[in-house]
Amino acid sequence: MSKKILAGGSLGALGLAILVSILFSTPAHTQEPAKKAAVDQTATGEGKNIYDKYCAWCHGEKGAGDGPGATYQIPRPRDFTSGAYKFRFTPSGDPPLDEDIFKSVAEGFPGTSMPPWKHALTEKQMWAVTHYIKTFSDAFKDAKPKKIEIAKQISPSKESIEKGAKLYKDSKCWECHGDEGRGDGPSAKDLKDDWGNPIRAADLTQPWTYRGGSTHLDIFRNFTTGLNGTPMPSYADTNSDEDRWHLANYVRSMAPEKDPSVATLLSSAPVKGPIPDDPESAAWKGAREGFLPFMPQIVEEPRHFTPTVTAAFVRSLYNDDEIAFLIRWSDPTESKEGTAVDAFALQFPAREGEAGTKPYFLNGDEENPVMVWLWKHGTAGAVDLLGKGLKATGPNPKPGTFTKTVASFNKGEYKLLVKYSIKDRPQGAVSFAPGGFIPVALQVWDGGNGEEGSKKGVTTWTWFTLEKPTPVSVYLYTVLAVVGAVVAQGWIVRRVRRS
Amino acid sequence: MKNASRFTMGAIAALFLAASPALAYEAADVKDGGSLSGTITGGPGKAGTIKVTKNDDVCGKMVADESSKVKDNKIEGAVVTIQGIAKGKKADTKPAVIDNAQCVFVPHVQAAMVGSKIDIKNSDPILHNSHAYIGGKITTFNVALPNKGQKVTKPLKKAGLMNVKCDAGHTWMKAWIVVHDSPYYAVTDAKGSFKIDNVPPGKYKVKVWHETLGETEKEVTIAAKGAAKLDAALKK
Repeated sequence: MSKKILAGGSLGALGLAILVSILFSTPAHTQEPAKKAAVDQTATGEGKNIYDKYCAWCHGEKGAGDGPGATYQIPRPRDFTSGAYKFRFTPSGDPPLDEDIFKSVAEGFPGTSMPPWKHALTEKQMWAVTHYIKTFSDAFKDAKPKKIEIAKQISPSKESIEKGAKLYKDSKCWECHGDEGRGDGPSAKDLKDDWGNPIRAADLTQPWTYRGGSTHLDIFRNFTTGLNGTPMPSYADTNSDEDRWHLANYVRSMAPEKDPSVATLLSSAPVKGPIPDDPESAAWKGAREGFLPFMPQIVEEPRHFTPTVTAAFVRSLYNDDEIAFLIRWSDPTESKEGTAVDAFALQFPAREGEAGTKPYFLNGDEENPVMVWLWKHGTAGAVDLLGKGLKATGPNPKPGTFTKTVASFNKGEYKLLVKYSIKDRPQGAVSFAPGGFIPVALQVWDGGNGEEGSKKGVTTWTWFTLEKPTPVSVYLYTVLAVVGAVVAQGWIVRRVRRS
Repeated sequence: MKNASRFTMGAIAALFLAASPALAYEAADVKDGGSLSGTITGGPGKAGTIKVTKNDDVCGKMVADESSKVKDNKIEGAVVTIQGIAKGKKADTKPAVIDNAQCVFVPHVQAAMVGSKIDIKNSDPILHNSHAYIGGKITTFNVALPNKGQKVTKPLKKAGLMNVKCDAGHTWMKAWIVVHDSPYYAVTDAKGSFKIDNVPPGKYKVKVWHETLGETEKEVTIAAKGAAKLDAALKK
């Protein structure tokens, strides 16, 4: 019994460690491989010490990528025994430069469990571990990896991006990465790496998850070298240097230049008249969009360490009668049949509580229940559930009314519009009064990844507020102030002229 | 000082390590060369087809299963290699070829010499992605051929058994390349027979390998100007 708890606890701790590392890993922005420090390459003693202490947990004692944390990760930790490294400045199939390994250690890989170690280790220590990692594989024995030449960069002009778009089509990048880059192409579904583990095509609209960094050079390098150990091939021989720069420029243009920052407050904007159903309408386009990343649900059994959906973008509008949410997220597969279907849920406290209180983020508990608005693909519309814990969530005995649910799936992106009637809400339910602060949390399921029940992506609580409509007096005061200023100026001018 | 000397020693050791596996093959005139020929038998084979699950407009609904081609007990596509010849006939300088044609690799099985090159071609108007592994696991190259008529040349740097897959969703596509350390190799024809000529006289180990029907090792003596025979039966 106690052993079980202990095992569960350490599993949870491990999961948390992985989570923390995912959340805090920052994108790698090094432009060129780091300069090599003068470390004695044959003295791997220090490297071994560091490796055993920090790296072996995931990468395994002998570097085979089979540490105790390995099974909870997608992508899996690198198996160093093969010498296959994804991010290198060397040709397809060749082992990496020392500088490439060093950079991986120092910068980590965004969107994976590999954190940047430059904050924890000295440069000398990172070089020592770099040399030690090489001892796991024969691939380095008689290899003298040669750095590829980086052709002169072409600036990401409109013209270059257009050329890149055509090349993206002609070079069949879309077969894995999808027409709009969300990793949803026809060949994406069953991709495996060299070890037979499932691997996903990168969602190119989310550069903050690009493992090898998201600069134009990073992308150009990946086209040139291919990613060893993965299905991503080298295009060095079939696309010219210029073409690969155009492609890099196009791929980078699929996403905003700046990564979105995590929303600390979501807001709903008031509208006059009915809330439009069309996500493309001006009212929705004008609404502020909040970005919320998901974490795997690893607190309660059955846990899920490898959810697909990384984040959601949330907008909200309201009027006197209704409140509406428009949410979009990337999912490479559309699943609406069987037990594991794509689904999304919004959570709010079940009743109007004291300001500042939040229920337990995983469907609440007996004392502080939550209201779960669940949408499941293939069903008629959202349903209102009452949650008193993950295993005690069922139909709300006093359900609210959803006046509209519109869901669409297009080229790897879901758009879900849910309208809830504030007017017809059950007694005691959250009133969605303008100006107040209500906690909201999100949950998501990718049926294509076998996610159902407690196997899902979750967020913790984020504050949500309904912006108060701007009172007419605000406009009136502005007009009065302007008129007043003009009158006063006129008076001063006249006084000056007179004197 | 101490570190520096350790470093030098390390460097020397590394040099030796680097040099040792490179028992580089040397081309020379072969005096009184003999030949080795024979027939490889075994089975059973299967003349099946594999269902095409992608691009059937180009590939057809089915492709032939070439994993065990046997007729009258004679195996086609077995690879025979003579071991341990460091000096001998000149190797073929033409690159080996592997073509992506109607969604199968042509040829399905071949042998080539280490250090030579291979042309990877695409004769189909669809994306092929030739991903080659050595020893079944380690990527040696992975090249995209998105369009018809494209050709990429890659070096065969390491000796060993190479297998090639297509990552572009054509899960049935498989090919084998035996990369040998000398030009003394042959692939059996439809009658299960092979011939290797211009072999320096001597006693050798000969390996016979087939992708599904097994492998074996035999010893042969090839006399000066002699014609040695090697018939082998493979067992799974």
